[in-house]
Amino acid sequence: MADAALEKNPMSGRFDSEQIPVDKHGMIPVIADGHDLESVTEKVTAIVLTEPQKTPKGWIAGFFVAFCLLNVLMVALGYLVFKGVGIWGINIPVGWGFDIVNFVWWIGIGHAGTLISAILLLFKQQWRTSINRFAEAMTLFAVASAGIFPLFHTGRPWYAYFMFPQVNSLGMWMPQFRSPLLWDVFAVSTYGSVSLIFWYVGLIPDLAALRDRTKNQLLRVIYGMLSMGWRGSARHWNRYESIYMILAGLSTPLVLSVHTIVSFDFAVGIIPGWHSTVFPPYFVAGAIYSGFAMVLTLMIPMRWFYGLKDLITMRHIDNMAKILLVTGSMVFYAYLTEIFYAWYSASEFEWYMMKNRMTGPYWYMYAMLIMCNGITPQFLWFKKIRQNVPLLFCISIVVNIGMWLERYVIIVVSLHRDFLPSSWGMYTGTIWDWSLFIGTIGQFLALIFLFLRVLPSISIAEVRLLLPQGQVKEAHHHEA
Amino acid sequence: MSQAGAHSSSKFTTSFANIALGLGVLGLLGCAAGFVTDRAGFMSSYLIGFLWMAAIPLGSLCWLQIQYLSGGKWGLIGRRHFEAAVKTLPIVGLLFIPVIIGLHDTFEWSHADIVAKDPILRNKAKYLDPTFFIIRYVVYFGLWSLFAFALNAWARKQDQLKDMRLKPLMHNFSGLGLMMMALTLTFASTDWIMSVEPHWFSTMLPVIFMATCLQMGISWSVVVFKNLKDTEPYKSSLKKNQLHDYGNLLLAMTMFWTYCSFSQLLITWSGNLREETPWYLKRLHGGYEWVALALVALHFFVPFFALLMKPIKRDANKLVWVAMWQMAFCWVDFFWLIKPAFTGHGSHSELHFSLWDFAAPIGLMGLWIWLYLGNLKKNPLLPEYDTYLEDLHHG
Repeated sequence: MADAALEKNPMSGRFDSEQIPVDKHGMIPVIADGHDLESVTEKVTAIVLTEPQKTPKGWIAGFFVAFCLLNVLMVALGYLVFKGVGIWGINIPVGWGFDIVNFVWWIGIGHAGTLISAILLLFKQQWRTSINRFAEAMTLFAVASAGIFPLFHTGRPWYAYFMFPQVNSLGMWMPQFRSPLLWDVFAVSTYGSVSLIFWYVGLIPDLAALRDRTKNQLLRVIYGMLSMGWRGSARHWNRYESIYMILAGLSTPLVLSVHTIVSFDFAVGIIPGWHSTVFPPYFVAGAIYSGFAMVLTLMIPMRWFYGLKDLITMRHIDNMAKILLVTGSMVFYAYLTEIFYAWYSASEFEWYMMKNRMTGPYWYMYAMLIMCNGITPQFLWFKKIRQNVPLLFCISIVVNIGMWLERYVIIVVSLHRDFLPSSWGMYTGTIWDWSLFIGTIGQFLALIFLFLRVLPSISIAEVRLLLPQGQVKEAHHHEA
Repeated sequence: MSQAGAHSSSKFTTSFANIALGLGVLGLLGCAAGFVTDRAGFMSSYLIGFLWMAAIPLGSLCWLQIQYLSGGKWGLIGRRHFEAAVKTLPIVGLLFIPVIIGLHDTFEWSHADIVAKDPILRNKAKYLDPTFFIIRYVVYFGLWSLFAFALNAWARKQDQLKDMRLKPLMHNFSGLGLMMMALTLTFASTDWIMSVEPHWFSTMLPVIFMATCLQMGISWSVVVFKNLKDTEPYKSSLKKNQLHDYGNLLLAMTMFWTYCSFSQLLITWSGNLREETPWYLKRLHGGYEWVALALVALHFFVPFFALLMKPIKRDANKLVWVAMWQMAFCWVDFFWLIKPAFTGHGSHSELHFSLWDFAAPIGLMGLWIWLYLGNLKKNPLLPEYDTYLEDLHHG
């Protein structure tokens, strides 16, 4: 509650420990005081079970905007299928443009969800609890947006099944297995499936809570079917918890493998700017960085709009900002070492690539990239900035832009001047590139709005475990 | 804390220290003999042994700062031990002096005549320059020692103050320190590992070196815990849960090392460029292919499956074997990274062991353990005051 009072004047940046109650380690509690089992369930289910005619106007306005942008996607895709990829800006030498930039951007954003839900669960980080459900939903929607780009970049998406190993009359049952682009097909589809199952399994007890609380007969049937007969017996909980841990264990290597393979898409080539051995961990760090930025971008308005500040507390915000700082610093480290090793390699192509990045025709992209991803997160060293919510919201947007620029710099700027000066060229996205990109943002936001409206955006069952009433069970659990 | 200093009389800190010192002196005598009689053959062995030994205090400096930032009980258990390890850094720095004396026998780029004939080395000459190399060495050890001593001094101060006043300072300093570590370890690994093959470059190598340092730091912690677990204060505060945490960290670092090493191999193999592949060709022929295979099987698969087992991670007597095993294979890794540059001509290299390969690590590690145990004895094994202490005794 003190938290809410503080944010009345958040720009003042004053968040002293006197004002926010802290525990003996000087930490803000994960869940604000004053909640019990009933109040948590009530607060979260009320968002979903609001009568349709009482839907908040803000939600309607937000969904309307997202829906309009979603229609931009439909138009962009429709025209693309009608005309072909020639409507995009790609050409030789830049054969990969917005399509791959946006694919990598969206896939990276998806990483925060699995990191929060799986890796932080394995690390017993309690603060993951209020934000995991939302972040997992975000992962799924981001993967859905990402998948559009490579699928349509093939030019004939109706032949996309050619990418899977199959017995066919062409005698080509296995695609080129040495290509990481093929590994991407497996990695992303497996990642999407496991994330979906993980998300759904986590939802089951909460769907049962919605079934039990709704007064609408139709909703009761729908939520009842979705909750698969959950009655909350000890046996149900036992099986639920074991499958949840197994899925967390499965998701962890998956989330790391996906962006590793995305980095291989570039690093196994010999293009200067792509062929760098540090790419796998550097890309994974960048993915987590962009994912956490997107969680902050979405969650800050959401917790304000639905008044969830005592469930998503300053502890969550502060911790996410710290992860942003750590991963942002890793990415910055990679930018700096890239410059050094481009020089140290004594390869004229490597060094030219780096000079071209910094001073060539796209120098402003690189300069903005360093500003957004290198300099901006360093402000998060200061607690006052980490806890200044509006400012943090702005930083998270800057980071989102920065991560998009990073992929643009890596992909386009490395390609546009290759080994042979006679084949050099420039690249710009056409209106169709932009409308497809904006369209996927529309799809992503529309799905987020629908999710907020029809599913519990905070895991009720898990938050209840953090309450004093839930602690007995928790302590007992640990002893066993 | 009534247990203060009680461990000082344990067998580990007395007789073990004497054995370590004895072995250390013997090994260093062997090193002296090598330095005088066969300097060209000896220098690579010494460099490998030095890196292997220095990886423990360097990894410990990272872990000491990480535990201040992350908090938690595992960090409290390890804090004093990490502090004792990092306090050796100035002396570790002095042990690098033989490499500087033998610079011409270690680094091809230190010969002006070779550089003059080689356009690639001429391009790198501003960085790979003997004077600049020495300046960098002084800067690395200066910074590491500064952070090691500051964190030690504030820890003593906190014990006296018996409150958490210094926590924000140590917290911020550790954050700065980790950034410092990332940069210094990058350049140090470039200087000491990458530049033995001055034509080769890889942006992943510094990360592999960091993974090894972190692995050595955690492994050594497990060895210390095993030997002190029956003496106070560890007897009452080192629970199976904390040991499990260290086992998991060792597992994570084992996987991280493998991930980075494999990625580097895959990317280099796919690119198949003449700037990069000779480095691997040298390390995958002439007997070194067996060392490489041993690293895959024994530095990853065997410890990986062992560390997946909960009973191993929760029993110090079992975990210590995995830890010592991994420490031994960290040496094999350094050997594989560095030795092929010295045991052949041109693009070919033959696997070859010399007496110095064993004298150097035994001598340096023996001496380091003796120094470390001397530091460990000086302070109680647990902080006198920390808000996590209560949790440690009750959880």
